[in-house]
Amino acid sequence: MRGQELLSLPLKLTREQQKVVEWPREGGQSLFLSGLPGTGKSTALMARLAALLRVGYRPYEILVFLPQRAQVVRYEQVLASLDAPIRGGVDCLTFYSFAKRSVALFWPRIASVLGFAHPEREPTFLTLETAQYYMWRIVEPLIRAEGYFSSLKIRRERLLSQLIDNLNKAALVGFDYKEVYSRLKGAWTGSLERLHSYWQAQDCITRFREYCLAHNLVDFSLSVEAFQYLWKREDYQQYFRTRYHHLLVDNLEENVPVALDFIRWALEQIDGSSILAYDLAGGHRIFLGADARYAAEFANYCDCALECRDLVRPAGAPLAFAGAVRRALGLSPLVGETAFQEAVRAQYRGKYWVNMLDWVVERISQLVHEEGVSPREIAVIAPYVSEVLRFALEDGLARKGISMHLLRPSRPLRDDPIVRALLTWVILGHPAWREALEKGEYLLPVEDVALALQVALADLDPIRARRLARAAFPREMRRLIDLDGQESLLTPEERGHLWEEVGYQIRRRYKALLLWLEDAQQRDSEGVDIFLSRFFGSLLSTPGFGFYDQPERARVYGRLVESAAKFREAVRISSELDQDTLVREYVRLVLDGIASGEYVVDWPTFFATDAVLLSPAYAYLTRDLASHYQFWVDLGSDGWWNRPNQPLTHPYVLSRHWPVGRPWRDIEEERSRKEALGNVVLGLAARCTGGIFLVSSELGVDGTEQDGRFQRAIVRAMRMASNEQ
Amino acid sequence: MSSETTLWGYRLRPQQREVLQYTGGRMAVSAVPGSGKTLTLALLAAKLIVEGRIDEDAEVLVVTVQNSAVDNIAQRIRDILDRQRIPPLGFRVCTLHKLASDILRARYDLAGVEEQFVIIDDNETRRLMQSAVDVWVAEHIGWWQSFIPETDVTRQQRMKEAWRRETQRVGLEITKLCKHLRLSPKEARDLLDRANRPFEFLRMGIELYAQYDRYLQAQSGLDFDDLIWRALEALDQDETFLLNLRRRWPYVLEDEAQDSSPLQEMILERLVGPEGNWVRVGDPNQSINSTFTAADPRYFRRFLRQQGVKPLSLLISGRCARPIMFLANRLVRWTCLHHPEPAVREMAFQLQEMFPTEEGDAQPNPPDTQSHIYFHTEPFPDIKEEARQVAHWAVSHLKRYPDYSVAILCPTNQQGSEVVSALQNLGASYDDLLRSTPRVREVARVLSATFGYLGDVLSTTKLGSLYQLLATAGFLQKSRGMERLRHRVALIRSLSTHDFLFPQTGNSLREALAMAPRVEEEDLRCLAEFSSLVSKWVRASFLPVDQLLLTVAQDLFTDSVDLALCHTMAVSLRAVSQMHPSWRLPDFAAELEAVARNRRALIGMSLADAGYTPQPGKIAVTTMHKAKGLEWDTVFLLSVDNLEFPSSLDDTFRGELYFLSGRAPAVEARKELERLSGGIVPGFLEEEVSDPIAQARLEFVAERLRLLYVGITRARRNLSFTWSEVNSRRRVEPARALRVLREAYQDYLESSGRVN
Repeated sequence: MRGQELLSLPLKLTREQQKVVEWPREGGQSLFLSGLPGTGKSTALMARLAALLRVGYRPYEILVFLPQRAQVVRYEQVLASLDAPIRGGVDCLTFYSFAKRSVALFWPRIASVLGFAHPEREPTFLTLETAQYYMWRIVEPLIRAEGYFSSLKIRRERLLSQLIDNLNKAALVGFDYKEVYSRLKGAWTGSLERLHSYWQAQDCITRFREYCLAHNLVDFSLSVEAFQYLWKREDYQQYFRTRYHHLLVDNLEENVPVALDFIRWALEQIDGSSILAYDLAGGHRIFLGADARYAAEFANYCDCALECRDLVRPAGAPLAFAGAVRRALGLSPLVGETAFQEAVRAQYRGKYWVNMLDWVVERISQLVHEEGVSPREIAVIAPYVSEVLRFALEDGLARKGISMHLLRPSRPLRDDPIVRALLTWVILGHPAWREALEKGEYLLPVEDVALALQVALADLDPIRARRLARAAFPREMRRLIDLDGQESLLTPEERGHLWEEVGYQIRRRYKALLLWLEDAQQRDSEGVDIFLSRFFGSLLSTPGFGFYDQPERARVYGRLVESAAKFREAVRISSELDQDTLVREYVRLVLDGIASGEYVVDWPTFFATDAVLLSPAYAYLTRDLASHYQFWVDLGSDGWWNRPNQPLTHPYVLSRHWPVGRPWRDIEEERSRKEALGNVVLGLAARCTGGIFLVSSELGVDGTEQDGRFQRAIVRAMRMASNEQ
Repeated sequence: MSSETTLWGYRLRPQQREVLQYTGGRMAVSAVPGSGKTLTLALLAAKLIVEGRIDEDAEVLVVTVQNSAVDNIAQRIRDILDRQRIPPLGFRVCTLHKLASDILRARYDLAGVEEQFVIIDDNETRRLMQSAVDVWVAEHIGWWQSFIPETDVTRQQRMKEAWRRETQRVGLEITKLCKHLRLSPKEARDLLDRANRPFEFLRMGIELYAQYDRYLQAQSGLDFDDLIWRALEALDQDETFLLNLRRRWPYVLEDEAQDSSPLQEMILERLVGPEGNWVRVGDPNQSINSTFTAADPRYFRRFLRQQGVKPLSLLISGRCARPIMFLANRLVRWTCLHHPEPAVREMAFQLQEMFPTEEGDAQPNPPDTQSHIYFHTEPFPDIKEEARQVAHWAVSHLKRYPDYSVAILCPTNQQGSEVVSALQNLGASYDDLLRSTPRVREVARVLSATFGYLGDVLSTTKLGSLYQLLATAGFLQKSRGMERLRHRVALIRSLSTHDFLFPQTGNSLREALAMAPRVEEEDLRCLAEFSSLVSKWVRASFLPVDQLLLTVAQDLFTDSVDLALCHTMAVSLRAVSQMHPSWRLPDFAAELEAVARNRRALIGMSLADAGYTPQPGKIAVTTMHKAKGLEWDTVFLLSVDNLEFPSSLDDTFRGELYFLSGRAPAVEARKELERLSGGIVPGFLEEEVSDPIAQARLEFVAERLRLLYVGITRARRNLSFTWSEVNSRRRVEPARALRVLREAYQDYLESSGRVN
């Protein structure tokens, strides 16, 4: 939720919300609460949570189950704002973190049953990056020696993420990972060659699983499988029953089948009360395995079902518009279609992409400066946020004195310039790398050093950074030098000139940086995470350096440190590599793009206080945001329609609803896309309280004609409406 | 409606009316140059829509070869629909490459590619094949060098270079052929192993293909042939996908069908289906890309004869004056009936003639009285002299006819360069279109200067030059005169780049330039505009290279042709950066500079795509190949000799290596593979002569005749033929066809009572 961010509970509740709050607290009664977005379901759950705490239920008896981390943060914020005497201790968790925690807790009892080679030892939980690392060690020789996957055109990082995805899907959907091949094969309608690739994929994941079991490595899929086994055990049931008495589940529809199985099981265990909230326009996380159809069945599993019909957020007209577009797509409108025209605040179709962008900037500026709308009430939503779009919009808005915040799914580490800069610091400063660098075994371009300086030192623009880098990183020395010291190649005059240009403040900071690096040289070799954490704590986060008061940057930093720490931990335990090799392997892993799959687990987002939001539609929906004004841009782009299909995995085929052996054809593909787009439209509209701006250009950013299915559906909806009038 | 002589204001010729009677089924239209085939196609598409033959969700699919034709046809259809008050829906016009990449993008999974695939152009293809050759030759150096005879070091060096080029050619041609045969490297190798024959050149070609494929594989790159192949794969994997597309495109209209390769033809064949509606329009006599793209006029001619296909013709043309038409027709007739190599009679042309327009035609032929044909009977001593003299004639000609457009068309780039330098010496106004167009070079120049600076942000010289370039090219406010401009450049260079682009807080440009002389308000305004633009790009320079290029492009260009050019360059750079991960901005700037400085062609674009239209009063210099699709009032054809246009197997053939004594590795390898695999199209191999080298030569003879035909039909009014005694250090004769045409033309003049 944005715009009206729900940090505390409203004073007045709707009739339905009141019912939720008053739902019986004893006796194990369960309630299925459904409704469109904006009907106040989450608020009802939060009010219920608050009420439970207020009347004195102990926080640790309550389990709040949420599909993703971003929502966990929201619940935690609300809890923090409660006036209830004991607010801490409520378990707000995602399914995966709950599963992992339970598995860790019961490890000694289940490890041998699950087939781990060393049940007596602690397990190592793998992150996506470490899983990719191990997968790569398995796959690489097969590609090289056996010609695996030669009929496909996929880069290795994509290949790895699809293989891992298959394992995870098997676990989350709840079928044996050995069935991946037969399921994909059964749905494939084409040539035999692809079947070989499927078989090779199966072979790789089987080998990977064997490797994990032999080395006590627990990847995402194994955690989930282990948990599936665990919750059926008597001792775990006992534990669960004693521990939890109340269950609250928000966005039930965004949960994966196994999580739903677990919730169904939990309903039977809970002796206090259970309330599950289900969004009628949800199910957007289908690529992560969400199963809205199964979730809908919970209406039958619960003791009572209640539908929220009153809109808490006034999204009537936008919803009607969404209904009309859905009808134009040939889908059921789901919502009334009265008078939707007022939902569309303005429409624009420019000739060029840049015209479209200028128009958006102008209109936002009008809203902010003339109509007094707060920038945080405005979202620009595109099917896909390219760097050009991000940069151009940010720049255009900055010229109008408006800031912009970008929300996008986490991207590969390598693609983030901050990460690249930090790894350059590892290369420059860590003893494990310094030698390789000085011997010329690794060539570090001066451009990379400039970026590292720019990121590390506050107030250093790209040009001064380059100036400094050129002087401080002489090609022949291959390391950073003290420009005022003996090794400096500059004459005193040149030196004076340099600092004059770059700034004396920067000189002081650079010196501090150098001192820190010198000190790091003297230390024993340490992990990348420790190196970076010390760098951050003692220098970069202090005033004058690049991470001081920069929460966005700090978040990226945190992510890198965590990734490095987990890598060190996971790889150290199961292999013979020494510390220095580990450091080098990790940096290569990231820079070569092997560890570059997007995170399955999402990360909480910090919003700048007063900024326009730019977001891909999918991220906006899955973060469950809302805005007063939405600009739907690039409407003619095919990105609204095409889904990121991948040759080695399949979100629909590897689901519970797809019978093994039934071919997946384009008819199903077409239908699923239509439904996905219809849900996106509905989801967006339900999250718009004011008006929608429909924006497109005849020619896209690349100069090609923009005439996608979404644009056509909107045109048709408008035409149908005017014909009816 | 179609029996009338006009349709929506377009005056129709009888044959056009006949084409427009079409309502369904398969139809092939064989057209001659200037017969209005593109217009006819646009009218047909509009007519199908206006007549309500296209359902709401469906479209007429119009496929062309050039982007410029896409815009042209789409605009025409839109105009017609607009005048009929019909919404501009129900049609889609695109190039075949765009169609293929859209098919892939719709279903990556079926095609077996990831969504981040990059399409690499022919420049990159060559670069990768070059690397493959280097690796391969190093591994087989003994065998490879055994083909070089013992001689002095310099000559040996020359031979090695030529042999290395030929090796690359073997790799490229085998790779292309394998892709058309839909053979993976492994399948090709198995085929060869099963044959149990040595075929050493073919083996080398297949190994080069395998190495090249590994390079592409590693970075998810697709070359143009892969793109089509993968799209075809996607169509073959799921019948309902295909049926869905068939429903979406119930009519497929294809322009320039003679240039479609078998793979491309297969894609359309699939999309149309056995019962579908397919109109193919093309000129089989203008197929001149067969050696490079595997397009072969035989494919379209075969379609023309196929059962169930309604063959029609568009033979009336208003483009050329009658004497030129006479020559073109004579060339076709002579070749088909009297060519000294009987096999060529069948291969070269479809026996069809052009006819002049009737009275009242919208595009009447230029009057005969304005038409002059000139055969230079005496050869020039060499091509340099020929270039010099023709350049001189062209300039004088323009003085006499300042409203005419003029082209000098050469068979090779080398000859073209001679002409360019001759024109330069004469101080003439000309467009060098040998590798690209001035517009392409202009766009590349601006981008390369920008990238050049961004790769070297400390350079005040580059920043000053960038300002100068942007200001003179009209991207910034105009300066009052050169002096002011120079002054501003001097002001920029007087500051360090960081002070100019990122002044310290509180400092303004005004303060920074406080000590500089003669600074006016307007200077400050202009420089501030420039500074804000460039500082933005500097801040953007951590973006991926294609995104950076597009960011710069959006700030500078608004014209769709320029944007399309930028896009082509961005795509090309993205592919290059994916294939060479260690490249940085200076490397990309160098790539752009190669295009800007006319050292490299921008691949995949015709001259019209690259923003060229013939201008009155200007001389265009290009190759006969590139001239296709364009027309000028006056055309000079150079080097019409028997090296460029051989007519018998005993002539000398370009590209054959003399020291290999009768061996032609690329040709042999290609023909061996065709024979092993049964060829791309069944039945074609049986028509060929048994000696592969002879067959390849015959194909070459036929193609060069079509090239000559294309050259001739580029002229509206005047046409000149010249040749030189020495070409490429060889003594040559005039082309056989030239002699035939000259004699025929004499007869024509006598019979029509005209004297040249």
